[in-house]
Amino acid sequence: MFDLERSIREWKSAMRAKRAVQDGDLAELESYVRDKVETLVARGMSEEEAFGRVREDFSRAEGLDGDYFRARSSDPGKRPPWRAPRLVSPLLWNYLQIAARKLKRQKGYAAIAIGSLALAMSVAILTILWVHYELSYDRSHKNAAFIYRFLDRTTNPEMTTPFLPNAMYFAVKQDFPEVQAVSRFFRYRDNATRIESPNAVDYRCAIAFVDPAFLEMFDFPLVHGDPRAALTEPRSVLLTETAAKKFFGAEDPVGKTLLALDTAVPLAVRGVLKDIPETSHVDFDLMMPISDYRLWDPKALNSDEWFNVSVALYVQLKPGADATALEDKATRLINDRSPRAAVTLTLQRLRDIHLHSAGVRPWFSSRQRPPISLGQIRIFLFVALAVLVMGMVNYVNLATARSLKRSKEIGLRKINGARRADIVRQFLGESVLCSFAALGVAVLLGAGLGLPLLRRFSGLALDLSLLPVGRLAFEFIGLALFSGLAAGVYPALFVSSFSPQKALKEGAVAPRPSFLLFRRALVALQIVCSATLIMVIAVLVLQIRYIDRKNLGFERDSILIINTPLDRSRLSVLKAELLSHPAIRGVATGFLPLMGAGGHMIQGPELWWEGKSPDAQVFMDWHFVDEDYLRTYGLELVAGRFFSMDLPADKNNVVLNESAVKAMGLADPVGKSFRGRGREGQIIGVIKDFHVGTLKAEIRPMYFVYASGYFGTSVRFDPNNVSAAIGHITDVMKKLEPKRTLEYTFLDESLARMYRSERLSARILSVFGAVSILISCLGLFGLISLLAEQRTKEIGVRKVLGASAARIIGTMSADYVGLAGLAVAASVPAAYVISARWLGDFAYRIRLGWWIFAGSGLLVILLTLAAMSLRTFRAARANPVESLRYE
Amino acid sequence: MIENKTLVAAATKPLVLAILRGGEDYGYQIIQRVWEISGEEISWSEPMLYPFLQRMEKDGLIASRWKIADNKRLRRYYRLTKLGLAELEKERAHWFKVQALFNRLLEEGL
Repeated sequence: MFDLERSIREWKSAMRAKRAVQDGDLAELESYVRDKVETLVARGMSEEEAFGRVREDFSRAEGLDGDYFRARSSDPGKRPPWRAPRLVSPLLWNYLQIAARKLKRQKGYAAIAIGSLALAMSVAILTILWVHYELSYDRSHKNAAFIYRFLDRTTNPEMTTPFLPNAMYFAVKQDFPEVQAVSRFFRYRDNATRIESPNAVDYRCAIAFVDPAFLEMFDFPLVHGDPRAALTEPRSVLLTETAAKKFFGAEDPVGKTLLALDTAVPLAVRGVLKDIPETSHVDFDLMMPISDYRLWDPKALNSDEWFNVSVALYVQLKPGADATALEDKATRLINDRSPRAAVTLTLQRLRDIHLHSAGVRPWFSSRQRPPISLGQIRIFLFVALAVLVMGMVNYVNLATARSLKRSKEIGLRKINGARRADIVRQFLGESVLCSFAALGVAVLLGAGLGLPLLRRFSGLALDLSLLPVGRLAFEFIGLALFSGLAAGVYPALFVSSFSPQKALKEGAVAPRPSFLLFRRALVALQIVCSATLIMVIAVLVLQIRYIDRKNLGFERDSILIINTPLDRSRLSVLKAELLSHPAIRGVATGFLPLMGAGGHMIQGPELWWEGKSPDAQVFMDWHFVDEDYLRTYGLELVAGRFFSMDLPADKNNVVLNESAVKAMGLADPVGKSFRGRGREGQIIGVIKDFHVGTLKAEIRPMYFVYASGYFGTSVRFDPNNVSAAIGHITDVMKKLEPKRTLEYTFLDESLARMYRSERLSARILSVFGAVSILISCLGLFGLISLLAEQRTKEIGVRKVLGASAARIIGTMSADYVGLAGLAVAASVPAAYVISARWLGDFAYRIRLGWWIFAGSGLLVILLTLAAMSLRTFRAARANPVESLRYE
Repeated sequence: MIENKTLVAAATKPLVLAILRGGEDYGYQIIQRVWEISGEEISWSEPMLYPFLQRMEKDGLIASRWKIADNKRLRRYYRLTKLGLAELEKERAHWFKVQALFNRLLEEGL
C-alpha cells in the first residue's frame, strides 16, 4: 500500500544529501511537494501517481543543487566546491586542433622549439640514467644496510686504506658481540697466478680469499654448487660464470679440478657464482677460503700478525648496534695491540664505498674503475640542468615570439567568454604537449645515440636491467611535465594578457619593452651558459694535453712492461736474450712509475741518516730497482753514481731523488750514511726528480734500494721498430716459458689510464657543451628568422632606398652580436673560478692564460654570428619587389 | 506551449516580479498563477523556481518571511521590495520596447 508520508520522508532524506540544499529550502520544497500532490489528487490522480509525477519533476531538475549554490554565491559563474574541477576543458579538441595546425603551419619553428627541448631532454635523461647507475653500487645485497668495512685513517697522513692487520679479524670475531658476522677479504695481485684446467691456461685471474661468512653477508647469487663447502673445505674454489666458461666451456665445472701455482696445487671446484655485476666495489674471478692463501705464501696471515696490514675487514652489525661505539672500541683495541704508530679505525657503510671513497687507496687492481665522487655527480647534474634550461629558453622565446601572430585568436576567444585562466590552460597544454613530443624524440635520441656514446666514453657496461624501471619512467614523465610547464608559463601568461580590443583592432599586439628586455636576457643567459661550458672544456682539454705531453723526467713513450717471469733465477737469462735484438734498448726490473707513491712509506725511527736533526719529520717512499733501471728509464743522475752489480755493498746502499735531499736538508748527500727499514748503508747517488703516479700529487721524497726481479719488467724498445721488438719479446718468452702467453702493456697507455676520470669528464662535458652551443645557435637562428619575417617590409623599404645587403645584415644582427659579446664577457669570471677549482686538484698544471678565455669566447661569438647570418643573409638578399608587392 | 527554454528563462524574472506586485505569495502559488494566466503556455521545471527565488532575494528584488498556513504547512512568502518594483518597471519598459520593435518590423514587412 502506498504511504505518502513515508515516501516524502524518503524523498527528504535523499534531498538532504545535496550539499547546497539547506533546511529552510527543504521545508519550502516540502510544502511545494505537498501542495502539488494535493492539486494533482484533486484532479483525480491517485496519491501514488501524483507523488511519482512530482518526483519526476525533481529528477529532471538535476542541477537544483548547483542552482542553490549559485543563487547564494557572489560569483554566479563559480564552480560548486563539491564538483570535480573540469581538468579537461570541453574545448580540448579545439585546442589540440589549433595546436596541431599552428605546428604544421610553422614547421620550421616547431622543429626548432621541439628539437631544442628534445636535445636538452636527452642530455637530462642520460644524466638521470647515469646517476641512477652510480647510485646503484653495492645496493643489491639484502644486508647492505648493516654491512661496513673498516678504514685505517692515520698510519699515513695522506692516505686512508681499507687494509688492517690480520690479527684484527680474530679480535673482532671474539670480542665484539655486536658484530653478527665478519669476514676478511684479500685479493691477490692480479695477473700473477697461473691457473690451469684441461681446456685452458690463464694468468689473468683475480682471486679473492675470504672467510666462510662472506657469502652469508653478501648476496652473490650461486648458479649451482655448495658455497658453504667451498669456503670451509681447504683447496676448494668458486668460479664466476665467465671464469667457468673459460676453464670448462659448456661442461658443468662442479666436481672438476683446477690446477694452481704451476700445477702444484689442485683445487676442487665447488660451485659457480653469477658474474659479479659492474656495480659492485669488490670483483673477482675465483673465490677461495682465506686459509688457502698459505698455499701462496706460507708465512702470511698469522693470527697474531699485528704489524703488517694486509686484509680488508667487512663486518655485519646486529640490528640496532652502535657503529660509532664500535669504531672507538676497535681503535682502542688496535692501538693496544699493534706496535705501529697510533691509528684511528672508522667504519664505512657498504653503500657509501662507491661514492665516498675519495682519498681511500683502492685495491691493487687494474680492472677497478676509479671511484667517483658525489661532487662529480653534482657537477654533471648541474650542467644537465643548465642544458635543460637552455632548451626551455628556446621554447619560451619562439613560443612568445610566435604568439604575437596569434593575438587575433586570443582576442576572439576572450570575446567569446574565455577567461584568462582558460587561455593560460590552453597554452600550458600546448607546451606540455610539445614537451611530451620532445620526450619521445629525446628517448629515441638517447637510446640510439646517447647511450652507446656514453658507454664508449665511460668504458662502463651500463647494464640498465638492474635499474628501477618504474621509478625511471616516473622521473622521465616528471621531467617532461616539468619542462613543459616551466617552459610554458611565460608564454601562457604573456599571451593571456593581450587585451582583446587591441588584439582585434590592430591585428597584432606590439610587444612591450619589458618583453623585449626579457627575451634578450634569456638569450644572454643561454650564451653565458654555453660560453662558460666551452671555456671550462677548453681548460680541461688543455690540461689533459699538458698531462699527455709533460716531460715526466723519464722515457715513457718507448717502454713496454711485461710481467716478471715467475722463476726469478732465470732473470739474467731473460735479460741477455732480450737484449740480443737491436730493437731492444734496455731491460730493467723494479718500481713502475705508474704504481704511484705511498705504497711503501716510512718515517720516524725507521728512518735515519747522518746529520738528521732530532725533530726532523720526513715521510719517504722507498722502492726496489735493479742496476739497469736508470739507463732503461732514461733517468738523469745529478750526483754520485747508480747501483752496480759488481759492488756487493750496494745491497745496502741507497739512491735518493732530489726531493728527498731537499726534505732531509742535506747539502752534500753523497757518501753520507743512511738507514731505512733495518738496512744501513751509504747514499751513493742522487737522481733528478721524476713523476710517479698522477700529476695531482707533488713529487715525494724517495729512496731506492737495490734488488732484482721485483714488480714488473720494463723493456725499452726502439720506437721505430715496435713490431720487431714485440715479436722478439714474444719469441724469448715463449722459449723461456712455453705455456705462457705474453702479456704486455705500454707504459704511456697505462699512465694515460690514470686520468680516466678526467678524460671521462672532459668527454662528457664536451658533448654537453656541443649540445648547449647547438641549442643556443638553434634558438638564435629561430629568433632571428622570426624577426626577419616580421621586418620583411622594413627590409624591403630599406633596400629600395638604397641600403646594401651588408648594411641590412648589420642592422638586423647588431643587437644580438653586442648581446653575445656582453654575455661572453660575463661568463669569464664563472668559467675562471670553475676551472681554477678543477685545476687545483693538480699539483702540476697549465697556467690559466687570458687567451684560453678569449679564444673560446671568440669561438662562441663566431658560432652565434654564423647562426644569425644564415638567416639575415637570406633576408637581406631577398628581392624587395617580392616583399613589397602585396602592400 | 512555448518551447524556447532561453526565452522562458529570460521571462521568469519579470513574471515573478509582476505576480508579486499583487501582494505576498508563496512558491507554489506563483507557479500556479503563471500556469493559469498563461493558459498553460509557460511551463517551468517547477522545483527550479526555488533557487531562482533565492537569487532574487539575494539581489534584493524580493524579501521573504515564513508563515504557518491553516493546514499547518510551513510556507515562505515572498513580497516585492522597492528595488524589485523599480526592476519591474525597467523590465516592463524593456519588454515593451522589444515588443514595439517587433511589431513595427512585422508591420513594415507587411
